[in-house]
Amino acid sequence: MTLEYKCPNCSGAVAFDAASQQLKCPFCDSEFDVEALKSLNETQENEKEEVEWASHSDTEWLAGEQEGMRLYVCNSCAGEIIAEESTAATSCPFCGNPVIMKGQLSGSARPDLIIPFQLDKKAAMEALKTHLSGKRLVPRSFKSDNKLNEIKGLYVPFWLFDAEVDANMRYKATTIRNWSDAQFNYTETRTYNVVRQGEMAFEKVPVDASAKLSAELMESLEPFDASSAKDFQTAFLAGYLADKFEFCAEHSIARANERIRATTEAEFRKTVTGYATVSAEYRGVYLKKSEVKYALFPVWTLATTWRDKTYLFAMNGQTGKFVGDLPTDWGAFWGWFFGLTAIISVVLIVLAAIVGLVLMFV
Amino acid sequence: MEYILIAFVAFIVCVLIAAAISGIIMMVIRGSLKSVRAEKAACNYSKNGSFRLSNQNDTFLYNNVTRRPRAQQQTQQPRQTTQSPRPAQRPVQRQSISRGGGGRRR
Repeated sequence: MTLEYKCPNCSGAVAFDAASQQLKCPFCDSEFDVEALKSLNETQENEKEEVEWASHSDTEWLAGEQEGMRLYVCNSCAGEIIAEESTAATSCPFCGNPVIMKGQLSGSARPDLIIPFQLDKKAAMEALKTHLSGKRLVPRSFKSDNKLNEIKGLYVPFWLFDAEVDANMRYKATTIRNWSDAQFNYTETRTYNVVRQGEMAFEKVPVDASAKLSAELMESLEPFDASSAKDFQTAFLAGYLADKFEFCAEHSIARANERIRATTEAEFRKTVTGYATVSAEYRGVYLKKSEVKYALFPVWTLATTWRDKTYLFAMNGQTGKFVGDLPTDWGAFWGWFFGLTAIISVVLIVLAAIVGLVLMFV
Repeated sequence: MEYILIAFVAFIVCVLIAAAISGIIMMVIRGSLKSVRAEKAACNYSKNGSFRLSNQNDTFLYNNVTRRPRAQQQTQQPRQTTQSPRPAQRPVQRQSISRGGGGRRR
């Protein structure tokens, strides 16, 4: 079953507007409060007439053809929407209206939190231009010829882990003292056993739960400010794409633990000061009281093609942080390398000549 | 002839140093083209003020003294090492302190 928020004024499909943080009708420009439109929609749903249309299709799906796919019907134009199993919100390919797959967001699949989009498509395109500007090693043709294949506002599923950590660390540390007398130089190395025990806590450590986008790309977009997340409401999805989680929380917890452990070790290591060398002998990090929440975070993805290769960029829809690897112009690279080498060589040779002349006359 | 040889060696050394410096600069510039990296830590998500040490103990184990002859007498004198006969246990500090956590950075 699909869900669509319709404008009470003109019946057009409304979408969430990042600038005003309200639902906005793209046809008549009316703006609506999320809560108000949601309650109106619920009232209208109860008033709907029960009409069932018989399907008379001559063609049948082949065995396996529907694997990983689901079929939905658009509420606006009755067009059939074929979407991936994990899709939670998309747009109708026939009428373009935003569609939300209600069943994908209910029960255990219902997110606890959502960070609504704060930045719009225009900001994402501007950020791409800024990302490319001033980079001398990016091929000129990449900047001029590459075509923006698609730009998508996507709510990416994340697991957020809260955890309290007990740590028990032991280090071997040394201090070094040097002194001399008339005959010898002395070095004294004093070795210490250093113990640090304590605790710390973490809030909402995010782990990407989507298989479509690489975890590395999503981690590059951090940090997300989960403190400004809102309780989940389907209205926030209107006008954007959304995916349901593909990796479960149990699968993702290992990654959260890895990051929590690294930070805990670094924080405790910072307390071992005043030594010349410090090496960890034992690192015990124990997690307790861990909690997990399911959240949707806003991400703009931009895909471009250059020389038959696709380059994927992403922008944090909350903070505007933009990431994406760029190709290297090796011609420019070696040009700059030899140019710099020539300039630095000339400077060094002049300096060496001056030093040589001074030594000759002294 | 000797001066020409020295000048030639100096020229080669200058070019090699320049190439090494240019190489480092170019690798740094090229590194700026890569912005997709995995996050190793979770310091952005540590709860403010949650970091607390309950035990902080530095115990002296042993010391080791090495002596080397000073430069003018370096010819014959061998290197000598002395070590404290048995470990002396000396707690340096024992106290409970609390620090602010890593904090949430944006």
